[in-house]
Amino acid sequence: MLRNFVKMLAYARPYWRFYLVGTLALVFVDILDTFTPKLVQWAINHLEYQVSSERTPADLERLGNPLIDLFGPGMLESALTGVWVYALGFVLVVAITGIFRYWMSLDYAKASINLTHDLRGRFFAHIQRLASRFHDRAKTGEMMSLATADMDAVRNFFGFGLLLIIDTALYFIMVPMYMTSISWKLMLASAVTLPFIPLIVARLAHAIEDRYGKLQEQFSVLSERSRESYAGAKVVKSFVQEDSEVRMFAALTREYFKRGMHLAKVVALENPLLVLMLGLADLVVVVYGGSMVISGEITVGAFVAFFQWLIRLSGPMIGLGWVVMLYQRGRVSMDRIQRIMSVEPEIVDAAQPADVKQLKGGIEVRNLSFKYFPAPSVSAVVGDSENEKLEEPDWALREINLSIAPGSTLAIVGPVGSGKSTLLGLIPRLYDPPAGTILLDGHDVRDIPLDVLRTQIGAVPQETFLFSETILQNIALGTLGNEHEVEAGSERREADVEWLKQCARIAQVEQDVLEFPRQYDTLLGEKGVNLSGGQKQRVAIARAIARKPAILLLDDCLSAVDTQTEEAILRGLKEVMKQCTTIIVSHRVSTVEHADEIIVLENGRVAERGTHEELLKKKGYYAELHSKQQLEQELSGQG
Amino acid sequence: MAKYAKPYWARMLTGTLLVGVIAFFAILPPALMGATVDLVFKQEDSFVANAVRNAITPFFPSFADFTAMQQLWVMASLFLLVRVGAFFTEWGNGYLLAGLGQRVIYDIRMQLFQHIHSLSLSYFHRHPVGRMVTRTTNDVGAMEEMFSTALVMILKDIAMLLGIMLFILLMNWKLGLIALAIVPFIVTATLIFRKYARAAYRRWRAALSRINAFTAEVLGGVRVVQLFHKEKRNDQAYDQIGQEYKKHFIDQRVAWAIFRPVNTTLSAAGIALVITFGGAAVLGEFNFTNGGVFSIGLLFAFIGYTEMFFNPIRDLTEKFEVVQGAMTAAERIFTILDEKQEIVNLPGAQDFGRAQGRVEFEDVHFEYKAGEPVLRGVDFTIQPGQTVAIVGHTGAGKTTIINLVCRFYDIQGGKVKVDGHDVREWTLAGLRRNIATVHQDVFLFAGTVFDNLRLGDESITREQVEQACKYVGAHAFIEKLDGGYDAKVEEGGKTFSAGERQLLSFARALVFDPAVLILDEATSSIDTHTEELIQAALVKLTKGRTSIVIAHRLSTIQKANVILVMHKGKLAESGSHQQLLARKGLYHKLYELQYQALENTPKEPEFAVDGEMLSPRHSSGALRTAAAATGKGNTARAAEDATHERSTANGDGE
Repeated sequence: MLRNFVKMLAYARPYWRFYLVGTLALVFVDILDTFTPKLVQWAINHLEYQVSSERTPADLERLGNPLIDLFGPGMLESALTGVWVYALGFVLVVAITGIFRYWMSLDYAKASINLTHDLRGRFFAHIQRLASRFHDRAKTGEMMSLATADMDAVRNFFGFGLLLIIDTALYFIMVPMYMTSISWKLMLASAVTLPFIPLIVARLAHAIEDRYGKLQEQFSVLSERSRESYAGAKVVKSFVQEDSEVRMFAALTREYFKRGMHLAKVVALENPLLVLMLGLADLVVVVYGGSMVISGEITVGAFVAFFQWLIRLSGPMIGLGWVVMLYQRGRVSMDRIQRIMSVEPEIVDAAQPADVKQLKGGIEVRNLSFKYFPAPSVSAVVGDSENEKLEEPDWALREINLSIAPGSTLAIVGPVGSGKSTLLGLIPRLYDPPAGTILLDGHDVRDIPLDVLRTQIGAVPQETFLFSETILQNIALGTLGNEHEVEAGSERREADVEWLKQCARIAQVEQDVLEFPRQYDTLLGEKGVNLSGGQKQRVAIARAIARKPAILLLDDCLSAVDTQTEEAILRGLKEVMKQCTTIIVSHRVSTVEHADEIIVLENGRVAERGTHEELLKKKGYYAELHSKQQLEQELSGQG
Repeated sequence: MAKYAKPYWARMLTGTLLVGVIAFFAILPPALMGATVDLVFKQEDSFVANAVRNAITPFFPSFADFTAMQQLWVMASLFLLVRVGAFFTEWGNGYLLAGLGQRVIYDIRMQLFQHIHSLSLSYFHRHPVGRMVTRTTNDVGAMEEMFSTALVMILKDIAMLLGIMLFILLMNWKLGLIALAIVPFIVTATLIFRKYARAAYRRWRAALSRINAFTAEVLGGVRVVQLFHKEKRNDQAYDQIGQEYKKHFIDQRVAWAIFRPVNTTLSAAGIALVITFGGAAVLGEFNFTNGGVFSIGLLFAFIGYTEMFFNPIRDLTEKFEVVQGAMTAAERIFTILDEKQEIVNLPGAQDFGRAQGRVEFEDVHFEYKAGEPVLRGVDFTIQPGQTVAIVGHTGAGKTTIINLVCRFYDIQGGKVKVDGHDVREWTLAGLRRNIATVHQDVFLFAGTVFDNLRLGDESITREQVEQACKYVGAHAFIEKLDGGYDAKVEEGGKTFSAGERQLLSFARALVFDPAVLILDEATSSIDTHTEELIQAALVKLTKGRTSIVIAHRLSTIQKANVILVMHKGKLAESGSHQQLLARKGLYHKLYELQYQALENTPKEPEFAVDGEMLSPRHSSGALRTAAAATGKGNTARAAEDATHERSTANGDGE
């Protein structure tokens, strides 16, 4: 426990300046705050002395406080000249406390936010460099929860948590000292019930968190289930299942109700129980302290002040209950984050990379067999789930041999799941092929520096992904220079922008773009325009060719555009494709028929290969595809 | 909103009354403490001392004669009584009102869910699913917070504020007014702070959601990020967004860091006023007495109340926001609840029971949006047991036709009839129970395979489901799943291939044994083996029932009894494969094209089978009628004639 705690503290070291200032302020706050009851005590004693008819020198001595020494005995003669001094002192002390409190809370906040900012930055930089096989198994929700909920838990510990630890410790030292100055017996007596408070708080906090978690789980179930139910409204209506959906949802909502009540039981208990426990501590002071007043052992002022100190202990007592939880949560979350940070990025530059600066585009595939070895899931990495069994996967590609000359085009057809996208993913090393199986210009892809490799490849993945930036920025993605420079009115060289627009023309998307009010500066995504599937694909094509790649990888990237547009795009691409080596995957014969070579993949193996004419003669999968599509196209396009 | 609380009025009333009791208990201790000082220690006749003495005397008639220690014990018992009483009332009330909140929320959520499902399909097309989900979950949740916690707190805070004011004015109205002098300052400070803090908080949340959106986007597009080596620029972009987040985080902390000291200082100023003037009163320098002596105990109680005053004010402003949030949420929820149900059972609608499966369109006019007609006078009749293929390009009205058969929309002109009854004469449930639809993208729910096949209908047995699966050829792959029919289906059915999903949806349709089957054929490419399974299943599925297929596959089109060729909202051509060939129209041209294609691949197995299947079944009578129709203006008429002819020709086919 202690060693873990020290280990946690090590993360705070770079921010020691904030912690130093914050802690100094905290010390002043606590010193001043625990002093204020003393002023009340003096004031009441002062009053009592003045009210009482017989004023003994002993009374005066007991009354003795530095203020009287300061202002002289005249202070004891009139109320207004006397009491206002305490009152003013009280306000001043509270105000000065406030100033220190400001520094205290801000510096701790700054320390914690800077710490999490840096940690999040490193986390973020790390995860976007992790291999695809990691991301294949990582659910966005899980990763987001690490970047948000866990980061917050860390921040809470390093901000509020650390502050609370020091604050609580200081109060526990200082307040008993004041209390003892009144009566050590009363101090001990009042301390009897107090230790129960942090225990109760810790227990309740734990129970609440637990039950709240269960309630949230059910909330997610409600959310998911209603999402599905609404998304499947057509099915529900078609099969007249509205009533059964309502029944199902009612059952889930009842469960939510139950869990809500389960939580309410503890939540409703929390505040009253704390008030009761504090009240019981009060009671001890009323009886025991009261008897001391009656016997003249302590003054009424001391009695009153004792209560004030007792109240000042209640905060730290409750805080102590929180501290344990904040620490535990912070530690677990930090541990989860660090575990993700220790996942190897895997796909990195070779120890001795080949000296390649420019690719010509020759691709050779030598006896390539490949299977996807799944990476451990996120929950396994962070330790949420037990050792998972990772099954040995089937071969995704088997004994593939290809030789593509620079500037030529290879087309791949084949049923879903036959390995087309897999092959395309291996070339830019989204997944690592076995050593020596894929060579570009004679170099193993694994030996080519990653930034050279990926800069030279223009890829249009099957699932189009555009960023929430402007259309022009999206097209400029990954071209030389920074795409942020192409914001509206930038000074980026016009020639560059002109080239980007030309790419949009080649991809047949300029017409669409010009219809938007802000044209190329149209913002995409949630806050901007949502493009249709076909438009997205065309922007993605423009993006891929904008970087003037040596190798162009097109993965079924025309599936959402109509045949006419497809033809136009292919016409435009013809020029581009002369400049680079192209691999194009498609389900449409019309897309692939002009390729230099066409291969048919089935179950990861090359089933047929040849030119369009050769394959038609073979009367296999390709020929069948061809004949089917011709008529279907005519049928759906006619009228 | 109140109407939802109405069924629980007894609970509500008890809760409200209890809140009064709780507030009373909560504000008693300072007065008791003051009374202890005055009664026990000082023997003064102050207001609090008298009040407590008067309250105690009926129970302890000789209280005045007690020793100081005995009196102290009595006071201590009073303390205990108040604390324990407060504990039980507050606990019980919290639970009671949480129960009320949860029940109200249950009612609202269920009503909302039920209502959304009763809305017509067009509503679902107009509104994103995410928004409906947010209404059902988060917005109802915002109301939950109000009903279960905020409402109690607000009532308690108000009761406490009033109670404290009443107490201090009763104790000594002059000093009471002095103490209350700080209230306007506290309220003003709180309001200013709220305004600033809320704005800062919003900026902080906005910055937070920018970080989250950015992270989510990078995670979602991580392959593109890597392919286009965007990592370094993302690092920079993160740093920028993160710096902003940092700034706003600290900003909203500044608000708090200022507010708290200001408020404690104000509160201290109040206490200072009370000490100064109260002290003067104790010494008799001011005549503050109203009905009793101004004592140290009274002063003590005053200090206690001045400290207590500031919490309810702060809490109230906080809770005010919860209520505001709940009101906004309620407004959004009620907007949905006010949404009219467009497609409902008309008065006198009947369930005509099991249909034979005749489907008729009579001069049907339809538009989704006013002024944009989708169907412009469509006529056809489908006889029971016939299989009809609808072809035509996107936007020709194919999907609309099947939507209208199910009465997902009401038409603007003409009639859609099932078994001779206008679909509006049917009850919705009665009509739709006769129809099963297989959509192009098969929607699978999270749950087991079994659940997905029988949907929510618990009258459907496991045997029926298995039988259906065996019949359509889905049984084999289901058996192979881990758990078989009880295997979990992930959201969206991602674990199944497109072909498997098709087979599952066939089985689902078959389980419901509809009189009319509607099939929107999938266009996605499917491996050869599954494709064969699907084609075989299709033959079985359409047997003995009316089937309407939006066809994309040649084999399906050829197998159909009637082909409806849609064009721009009208029926351009109709007839069987053979009839359309004989018509020497478009279809014939297509056939020629296919014939040429087939010369390259003469072993097209589907075609040979189809040709055989089709040729003897259709009379030349229908063929003649179809061929006689000339020009597009006459096609509707011709189609009607043709279908009429066919109905006679196929009369024995049922």
